[in-house]
Amino acid sequence: MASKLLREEARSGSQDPGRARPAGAQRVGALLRPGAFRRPGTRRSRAWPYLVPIVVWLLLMFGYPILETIRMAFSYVNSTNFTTGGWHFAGFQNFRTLPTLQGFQPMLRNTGLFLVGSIVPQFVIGGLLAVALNTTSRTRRWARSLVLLPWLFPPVATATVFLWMFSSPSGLFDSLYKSVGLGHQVPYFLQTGNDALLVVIILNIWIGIPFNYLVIQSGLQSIPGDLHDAALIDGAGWLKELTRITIPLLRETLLTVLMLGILGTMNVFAFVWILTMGGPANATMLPGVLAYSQAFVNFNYGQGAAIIIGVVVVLLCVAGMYLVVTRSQTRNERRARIYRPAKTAREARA
Amino acid sequence: MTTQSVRLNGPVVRNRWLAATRRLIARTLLLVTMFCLLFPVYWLIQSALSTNLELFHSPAYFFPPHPTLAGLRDAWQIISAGLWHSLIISAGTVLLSLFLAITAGYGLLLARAQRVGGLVRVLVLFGLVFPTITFVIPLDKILYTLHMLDTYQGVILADSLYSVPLGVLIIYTYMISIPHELVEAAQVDGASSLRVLWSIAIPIARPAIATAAIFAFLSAWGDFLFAETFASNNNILPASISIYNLTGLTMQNVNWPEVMAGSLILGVPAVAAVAFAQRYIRAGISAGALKS
Repeated sequence: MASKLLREEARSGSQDPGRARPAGAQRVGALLRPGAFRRPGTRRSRAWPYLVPIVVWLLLMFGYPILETIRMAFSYVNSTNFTTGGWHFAGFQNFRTLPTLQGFQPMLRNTGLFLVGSIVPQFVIGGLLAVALNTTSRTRRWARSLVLLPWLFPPVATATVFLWMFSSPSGLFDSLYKSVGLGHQVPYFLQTGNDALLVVIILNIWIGIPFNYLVIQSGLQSIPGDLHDAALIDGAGWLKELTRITIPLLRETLLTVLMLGILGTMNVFAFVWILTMGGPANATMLPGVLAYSQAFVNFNYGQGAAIIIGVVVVLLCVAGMYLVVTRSQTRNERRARIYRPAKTAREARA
Repeated sequence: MTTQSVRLNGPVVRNRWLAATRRLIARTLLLVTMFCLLFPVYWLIQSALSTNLELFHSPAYFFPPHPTLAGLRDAWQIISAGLWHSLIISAGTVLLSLFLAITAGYGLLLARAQRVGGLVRVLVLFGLVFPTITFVIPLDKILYTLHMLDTYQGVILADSLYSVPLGVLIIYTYMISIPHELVEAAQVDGASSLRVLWSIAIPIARPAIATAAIFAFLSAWGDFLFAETFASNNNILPASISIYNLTGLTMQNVNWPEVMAGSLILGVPAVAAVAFAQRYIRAGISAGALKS
């Protein structure tokens, strides 16, 4: 049957997205490029009936909550009037009082440490893994699938394992410390400030490695093999190959990974809440945790919303920077393509 | 050293000993990294199979000396109801987000040259970068006014925030790769747009739909934030929360084998996804944006 054939074709075209198209970033870009695939002379079908559900969802689950958050951030909201919605306007009061909030200063410090301390190792280790596992052998194929586990594991499960491993001088670290002759000073990791922050960072790195690995790896596969062969023939060492071929070609993918790493790290809540709840003495306080506890523990919803607004503004700046950087790059690429038109995937297949 | 002469193996031929050391270092690093990545998972399994007494033995046992399924049995008794609730919530989230993502993906495909399409696309992209923590405070109020706190519908609606934008992205990017001649041929034959969706777009986009479904399931199954906030009633409490409640407030009295066994059971869908649906996970990730 013809439709089966075509289905096969469509599938083979997109089965391995890394190879069919340059990695991730461009696919996100597909959403931004209106009409890229429109053919002249085709009949327009009515689209709006299909768009109604998503528009309703966007309004209810996206637009309205954001409006409510903004309204809350500029109002006095506590547990008595939270659900009624008749809030008094507070101006910038919620924002002005933020610095006096107990967990606020530690939160800023922790966020900086947390961002740098987890994104850099995630990125480096994930990238190195991607390079190391980019060849095919049976053991590596196994390794490649096992790498995914930490990321797909439910956050509650990972958090409880780390809680158990680091909870008290029990078993694991007790014997580790004894084996290097430090048996009498096994710390209570989660009860001492900097150690607790370190544990949270390690957990975040552990969760983040698979994601970094996967995106970078799918980018690596989009690099044509001839380029590596050419570099080999020219006698380029691996370092030169990395800096002259791999990194320039993967620029957009790497930027995407970094941006998503920042987004994901600013969004961290579940495992910090389970491990430390931001404690001890705010040593692991992060924006999400602070906002959540302000709202649902101290019932100061207005201030919780104000923190959220701050986080969102920071993230929008990051996303905006990302768009500016990658946009200018794609424009250059498009200009280059005028002189050297590349075959489209469909032409190549025909 | 000349670069004019062609050396097929480049630096490798130059110094065999150096190359061997380099390979050794690379392999060791790979092994160490893999060990660190997998050790917590091993420790989870190890602890789930031990007794509480053995766990606090010093020095720690690397293998449980007398492996027992008691922890798993206890955990199952405590969280089996929660697992059922998790399953209902996850299945509901999958259905809701597939419905939204397929209709939206197809609608965007039809509207790709129109202004509405562009607007919705930008909004969906927005949804991808917005942190989920943003929504928990206002949703608490909205679900309250809709009388949906402590109901499956409420948690499902909240959990759809994880999966709908991603699902739209995955399905839309797959659907625009459908050969246009196919759609045109069907239109010439007089097929309505609904018919085209049902008999052409959905069957062809099946891999993308599977990817979106897997991610919707895993995100709802592992959700902590919304379940902890919107589900306090025992009748709908998902397994992740009942395991979290087992860790309690006083660390000393925690029955760790039980907690570890519960976490192990909770991790089964993730393991199954890695084992059987890896292709889809990779496809989903290279679709670009995922909330980690």
